[in-house]
Amino acid sequence: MKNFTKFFLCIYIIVVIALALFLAIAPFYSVAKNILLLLVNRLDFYTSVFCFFIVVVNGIILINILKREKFRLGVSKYTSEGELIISNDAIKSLILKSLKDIKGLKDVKILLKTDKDKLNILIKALVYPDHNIPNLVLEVQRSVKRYLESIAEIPVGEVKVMVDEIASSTKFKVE
Amino acid sequence: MEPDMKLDEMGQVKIAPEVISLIASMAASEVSGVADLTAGFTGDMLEKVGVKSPSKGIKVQLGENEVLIDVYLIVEYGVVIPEVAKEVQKKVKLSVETMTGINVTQVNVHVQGINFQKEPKEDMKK
Repeated sequence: MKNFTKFFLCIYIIVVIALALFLAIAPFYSVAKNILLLLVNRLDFYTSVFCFFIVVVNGIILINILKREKFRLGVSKYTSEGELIISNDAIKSLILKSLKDIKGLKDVKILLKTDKDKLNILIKALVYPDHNIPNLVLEVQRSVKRYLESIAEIPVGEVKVMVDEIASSTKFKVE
Repeated sequence: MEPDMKLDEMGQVKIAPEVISLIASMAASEVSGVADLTAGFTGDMLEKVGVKSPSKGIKVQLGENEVLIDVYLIVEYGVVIPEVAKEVQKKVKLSVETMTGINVTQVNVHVQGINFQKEPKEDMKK
């Protein structure tokens, strides 16, 4: 989970706790009780919309947590002394480094998926024009596989490269 | 977590988990190729407000007379990660066992990141 998501989640949890505390003390303090009763008496269509919005937000957070949890750990290997776990972020950094010197790549997005004992990689690439794409892709695949296998000793399965877009520095005018 | 206790003729020797964490942290930091130990999200936030933990990046699970240690670290760019991890495991195990006499069953190394001089994305060449 990224730090921003964590921060957002922390704020959300704090708000929920504050609301729960308010509800917990409401029966014992007349001011809090009056506020609550006032709110209950004003229930309308907008309250339903607000509650539905809260349900949707909760659903999104839950799906994100479960989705991210699945790919959180990264690659693990067992040694005689214990376990070695290389996080996905670390692997992504290594892949970025291995692609650093390849000419023709402007930007990449990396997705990782562990399959049994191998790591499968999907690279979405933004490439510069005037480069032979099949050659570029082959170079990317070789570089990533060679680098990860030598530095991290991670067995690499597939390295799929998807050329997402071609970067253009100039915009053409239609006259 | 209860501090580890050892029965001795003269009395009991208690070793707090924090002491084991500290020993493990120092041992791991000394290994060549280890850039830093990571404190995790909470630790990072605390570090930003000035609260520093000397045993950051270490999680200790104490048994009766054995201990399992998790080490969370960032390695330097260019090193062979499994070799560094193995060295960390050996050094942490040796240090903790020598200094405390507690049997270290496992040292799990979690590589959380790579330390680069420059950001790799910015360096991509045309």
